[in-house]
Amino acid sequence: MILLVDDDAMVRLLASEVLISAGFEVMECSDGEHALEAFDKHEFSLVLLDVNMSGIDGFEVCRAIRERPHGQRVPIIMLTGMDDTVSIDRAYSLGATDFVTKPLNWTLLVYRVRYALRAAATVADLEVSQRRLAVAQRVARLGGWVWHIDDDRCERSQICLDLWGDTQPAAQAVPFGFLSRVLSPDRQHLREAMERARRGDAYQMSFRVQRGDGSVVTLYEQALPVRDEFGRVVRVEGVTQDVTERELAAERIRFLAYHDSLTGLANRQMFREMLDHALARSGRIGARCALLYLDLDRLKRINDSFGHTLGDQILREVAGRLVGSVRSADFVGREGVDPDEVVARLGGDEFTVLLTDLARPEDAARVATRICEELCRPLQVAHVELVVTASLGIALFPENGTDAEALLRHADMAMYAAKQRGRNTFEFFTEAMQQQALERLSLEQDLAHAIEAGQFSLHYQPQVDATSGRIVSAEALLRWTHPERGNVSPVQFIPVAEETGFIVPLSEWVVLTACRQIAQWRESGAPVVPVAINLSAINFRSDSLLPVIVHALESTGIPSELLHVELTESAVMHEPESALEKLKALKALGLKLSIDDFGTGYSSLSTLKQFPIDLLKIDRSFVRDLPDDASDGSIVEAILAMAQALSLGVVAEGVETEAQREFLTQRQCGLMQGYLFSRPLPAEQFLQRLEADRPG
Amino acid sequence: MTDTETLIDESILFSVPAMRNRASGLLPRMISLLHSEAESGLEAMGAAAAASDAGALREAAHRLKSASGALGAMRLHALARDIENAARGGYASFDEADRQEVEQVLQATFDALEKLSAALPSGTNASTCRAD
Repeated sequence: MILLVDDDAMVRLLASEVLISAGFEVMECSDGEHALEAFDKHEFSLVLLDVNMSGIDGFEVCRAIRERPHGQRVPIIMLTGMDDTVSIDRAYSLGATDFVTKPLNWTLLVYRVRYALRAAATVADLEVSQRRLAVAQRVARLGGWVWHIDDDRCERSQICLDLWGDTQPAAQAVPFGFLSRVLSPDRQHLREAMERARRGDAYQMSFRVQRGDGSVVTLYEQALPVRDEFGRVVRVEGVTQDVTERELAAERIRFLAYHDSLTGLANRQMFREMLDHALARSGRIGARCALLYLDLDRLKRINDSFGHTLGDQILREVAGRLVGSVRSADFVGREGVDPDEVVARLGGDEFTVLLTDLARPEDAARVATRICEELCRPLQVAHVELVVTASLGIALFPENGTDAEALLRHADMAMYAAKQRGRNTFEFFTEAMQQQALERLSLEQDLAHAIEAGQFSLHYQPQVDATSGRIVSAEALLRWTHPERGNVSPVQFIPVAEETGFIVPLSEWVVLTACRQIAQWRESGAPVVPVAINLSAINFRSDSLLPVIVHALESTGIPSELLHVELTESAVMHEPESALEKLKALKALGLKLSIDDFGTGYSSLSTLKQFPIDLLKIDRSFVRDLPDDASDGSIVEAILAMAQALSLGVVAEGVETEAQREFLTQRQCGLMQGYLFSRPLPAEQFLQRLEADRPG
Repeated sequence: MTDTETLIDESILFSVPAMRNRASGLLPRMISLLHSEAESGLEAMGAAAAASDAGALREAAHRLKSASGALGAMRLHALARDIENAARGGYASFDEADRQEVEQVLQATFDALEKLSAALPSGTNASTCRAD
């Protein structure tokens, strides 16, 4: 709505007429007093105001409107006499937006009003845009400045000033006024960049600034010289931004990319880069390095038993102890390298330590010893006291490898050897280890193809009744005949099969082959005795164990009492509760169950009592020196007595002499197995032996 | 000097579109308003001069100037402006001769306005009636 103020009724009438015709809404007032009253009550988009009025004149009304908060931006067009330049000047000085002269051309008045409104809208938009820009600049901590070269004066926005902290008013307009706050060596760089900008070179640079309160921030500045039509630099326009948080974030990202988030140690990536760098340097100066590869013993068991949260706490504690061990090893020179950075976690429970500038290889052994000692101290996490030990492998540069890849691989092999040797110890890499590792790798590959290549077979060793000497059952033993290796001992390939997981399909093959053999004997009308198969701890824990046995029994149609299962003592005693469930399930199938190698592990007799087992097999190590070794004799007697008390059957393994047989028979050992009776025989020969044993 | 001014500036008078529209009745209404404004103006100017009140004379002349200007009655506008300017200078004179001059211009102005009013076409759309 337009407010039209004129004391001339004719002017008001005609002005209203044209403005309303042009689509405007108009409110008329015939004097200043009414005009101000109306202005306070209504909202107007524009005021048309006659200068010359009786009472309060137009100047006074204009001034009064501008004094009002809601009157500061409304466009005011003054109506003045054509020659009245004094009035025009005064009107502008009081805040008038425009003027039109009387007598009025009414058509032109409409245009003047329209353009004044459009200009006001543009100004309003500009103000909104400036406000938004100001907010954006404040949020982005971005301040603008202009350096006027001729009068060597700098105009800085408030945000720009704020970025520098509290500043002296006298310095605020001085182009180099804040330079003293810039830290060295950035100060000199900024000064030079500014000097070049004055001569016409743009610059972009980050620099660190110490504010008045002592805080240090990073500012980023971009400056662009502006030239006049003669090519002279007249000013430099620039923006300054606080990028402290961005820099911190970037630093954090860099840290995360190169560190293990759990322990804060260097990660694999960083360790590799440091190792490459250290080896290159050591190669140049002829220094010796040692790479220690460390693997925690049985961490998986701790994770399985107590959960990963506790496992993570252990890893953090181990990391701390590792760093401590290496730091206190003051004989290891590191030349300014942060000690934290030479200890790394490669992932899981694998850690590495890089020792540089080593005087003697023994120094690496001293560090390894210290690490073992530190780690095997009991640690207390979440009210649980645990002992975590580690196996370490050491590879030396340049003796054991000249590149990072080789050193890591060799240290890993040495670590593996330390684990094999009994854990909580360390080993230096040797060439023999490499041979063994290569041999093992080749064995793994051969093993993977051995089933389909038909290289496995089962041999059957008779188990005889001690009193009658008749064969009552047999143990199926796995044989691997490799075309080049010849007969490979189970002692050699079973551990490899267990570690690679190949034991699972291999045992399936054993179960199925034994069942098929029994089925074949039955079909041919031959005498048949139950056959015992051996299952490893891994098989026993595997979920596929029961389905495999059920499938083998069903597909061959043999009665389940013809299949015996032998499990090692350690397999069933580890996690006895779940073992009990498994054993019950096997028993429910109708299988006979025996504990193999009895006496070599640790059995809880109360647990043993609960297990639905049928037989104990006395380990051959107790039988070997009978009857001369008194202690072995006592152990065997104890086992037999215990078995009798628990109503369990007993099989003595490894019986090779008459004296052994006599000793065992006298003590009521029911069953025996060993070379004295028969070595393990291929299926054909075993059948012949069985048929000979059962004449008629 | 005032004789040289155009009696009626039609570009101003007809810059209000409804002015050309006979049906709107705007022009006769404005003529009538100018009549009463002139009448009271003449009276006020005479009284002000008699009382030697330059301020009152200036104010009355200003009103007449404004009203005549609104209709594009330029000769009357110029005459009123001269009186206003003289009064602003403290010259509070408006004698019989001045009065007669104003009345003459008024008469001529009204004659011209009436003539223009009578000549307005009877259509309702102003734009179709506009004469160049």
